[in-house]
Amino acid sequence: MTLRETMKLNQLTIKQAQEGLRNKKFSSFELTEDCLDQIKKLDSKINAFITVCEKEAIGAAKMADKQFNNLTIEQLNTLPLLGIPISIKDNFCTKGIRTTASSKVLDDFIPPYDATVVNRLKDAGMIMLGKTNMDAWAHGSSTETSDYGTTKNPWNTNFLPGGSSGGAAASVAANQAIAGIGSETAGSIRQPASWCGVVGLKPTYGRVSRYGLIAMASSLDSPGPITKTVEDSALILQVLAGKDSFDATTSPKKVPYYTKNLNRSIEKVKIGVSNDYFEGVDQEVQNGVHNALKVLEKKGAIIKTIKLFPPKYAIAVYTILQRSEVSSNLARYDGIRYGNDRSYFGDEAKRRIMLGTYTLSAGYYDQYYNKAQKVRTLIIQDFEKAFNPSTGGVDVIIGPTSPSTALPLGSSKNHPMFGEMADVLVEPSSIAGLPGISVPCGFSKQGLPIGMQIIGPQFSEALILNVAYKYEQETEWHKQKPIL
Amino acid sequence: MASPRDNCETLGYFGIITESGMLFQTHPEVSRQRDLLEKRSFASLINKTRGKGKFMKIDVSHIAKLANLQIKEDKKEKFQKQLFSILQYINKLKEVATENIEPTSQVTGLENVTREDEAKPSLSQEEVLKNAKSVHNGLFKVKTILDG
Repeated sequence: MTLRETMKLNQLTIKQAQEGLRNKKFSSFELTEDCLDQIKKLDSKINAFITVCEKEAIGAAKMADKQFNNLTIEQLNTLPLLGIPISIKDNFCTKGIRTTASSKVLDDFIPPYDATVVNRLKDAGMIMLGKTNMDAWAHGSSTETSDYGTTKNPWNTNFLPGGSSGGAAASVAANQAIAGIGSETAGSIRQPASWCGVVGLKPTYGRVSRYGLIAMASSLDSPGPITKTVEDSALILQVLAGKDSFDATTSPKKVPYYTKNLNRSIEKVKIGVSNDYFEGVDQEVQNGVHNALKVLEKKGAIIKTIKLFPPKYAIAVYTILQRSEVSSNLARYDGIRYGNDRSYFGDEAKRRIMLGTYTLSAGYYDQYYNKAQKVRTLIIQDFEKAFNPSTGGVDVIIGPTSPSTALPLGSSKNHPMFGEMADVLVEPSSIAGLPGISVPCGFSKQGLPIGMQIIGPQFSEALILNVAYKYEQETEWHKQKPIL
Repeated sequence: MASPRDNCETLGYFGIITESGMLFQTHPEVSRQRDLLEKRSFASLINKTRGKGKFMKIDVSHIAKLANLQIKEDKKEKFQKQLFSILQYINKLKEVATENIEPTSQVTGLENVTREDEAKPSLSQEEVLKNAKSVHNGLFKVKTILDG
C-alpha cells in the first residue's frame, strides 16, 4: 500500500512531507490535492479561507514535481519548501491574488506585487494554497471583526479560533494546510495558535520583513509561522528571517541555523516564571503550564521565580500605540488608487482610527502617545533586567499564552477592548519587540487546547525554539488532532 | 473631505515610524510649525471636547472629521461611550511614574538607514493604475477636492 492510501497526506508536517516528496513516496500534486480536498470538505464549517487558489496551487505543484525529477540534490537543498502547500494570511500582498485584510475596503484589491515574506516562501518552493481569514485589518483576537464571517475553532465549532490570525491557525489545526503564515502585533500569532492547539512563533521585531504586509501598527508588526510542530516553525523561520532592503527596520544581524540548534540540551537553562502572568488565569490553563514546567525541570532546566512589570499596564500602552499607529496607517485608504472608499470601514476599524486620531491630536499627544512610549521604555528595561546574565537574570520566561482556552462564538461582540484583554499576557513582550513561541501544553475538560508561551531576549529565536522543541519531544499534545 | 489644515491637527503623524521603515529626525522647521499649530489648535480642541465628567469628553463628530470618516448620527453616542470607556482604561498609565524616562518609538536600535539613490525598475503605469476605479489618460481621476 502507498502512503497516500494509509494516511491522508494533508495530515503531514513539513518535515514529513519533505521526506516523502524527496523519496518519491508521493508527489506534490497528490499532497496539494489532499489539502485542497480537506479545504473543500471542511471550509463551509470552519471558514478559514477567504480565497482558495486551487488552479494556481495545482499548477505550482506540477511544476514542483518536475523539479523533483530534474534537479540535483544540491539544487533541491536550496528549495527547503519545494512542493509544500502553505496558507497565507490575507494581509500579505500576493501578486495577482486578491488581498482583502478581511475588510470590504479592499474587497476587489489585487496586488501588483508580492510581500517579501511571500516572495521568500515562493523562492523556497512553497505552494500557496490560499488566503486565510482574519480580523479585519488584524484588529482583534477573535476573527469576529472580519467582513467575511467568523472562522470557527476546529476543536469545537461553537468556539472562536482566536485572532487576528485565526484563519491561519484553524487551517493548520484542521489539516487544510501543511503550515500557515500569520502576523502579530501583540498576540495575533501566539493567541490563535494557543486556542487552536498548534505552534505559533512571533519573531523579534525586525527579524522578518514587513514589506507588503498591510500595515497595522508599524512599530510592532511581525510576520511569523503557524505550524504543527516546533521543527516546522524553525524550518519556516529559516526561510523568512533576514535583512530586506525594502524594510529598513529589518536587522542586518546574521541569521543562525535554527533547525540545527533544536535538539541541544537544555540543562542549566534558566526559566523565569512571574506570578503576575498567572493572576486571573483559568485554573486549567495554570495547571497545564505548571505541568509543562515540571517536564522542562526534568530535562535539567532551572525554574526561577521572577518579578516582571505588571502586564495590565502593557494593555494601556499597547492600546494607545496600536490605535495611534492604526489611525496613521489607515489614513491612506481613500478608494482612489485601489479599493473602496472610507465608508466601507467596519465599526472596529472606525473606533480604532478615531481613538488613535484623538490620542495623537494636539493637546493629547503628550498625555497619551508620548506617555505610552515612555512606559514602553520601562517595559523594555524591565525585560532587559530580567534577562541580564550579570545580575543573575534568566535565559527565557515561560507563562500561559492566553488567560483562557478558546471562548464561545460571540464573545468579542460589544466589548471594545476584547482583543487587549485576551492578549494581556503577550502584550508586554510584543511592546518590547521580543520573540515568543506558543506551544500546546494540554487540554481543558471541555477538550479545548491549552498553550504555553516561551519568551526570550531580542534575537533569541534559536533558544526559544530549542526549549520548545525539547518540551514537544517529551509530550504528545501536538499529535492530537480535532475530530471533524 | 478633510482640509489640509484638519490633517495637520493630528500632529502625532510626525513622530511615527512609517510603513517603509524610514526613520528620520523631524526637520526643525516642521517642529516649529508643529509647535505653532499645537498652540493654535489646542485651545479650540479643548473647547470642543471638554466634558462634564472627570475626563474630557470625546467629540466624535470632530474626531471623525479629522479622520475623514462618516459616522451616522444614530451611532455617534455609541462610539462616544465606547471611546470614553477605552480612555478611562488607558488613563491607568497615570499610575506609572515616567519622569526622566525617554520615550521609545522603535525597538530595533537602527538609525538613519539609507540606501544608494539608484534608479531601479518599478511597477509599470498599467500595473499601478489597474486597481483604480476611475482613470483618465493614464492618470488617477479624483473628485473635486477644493470648492470652486
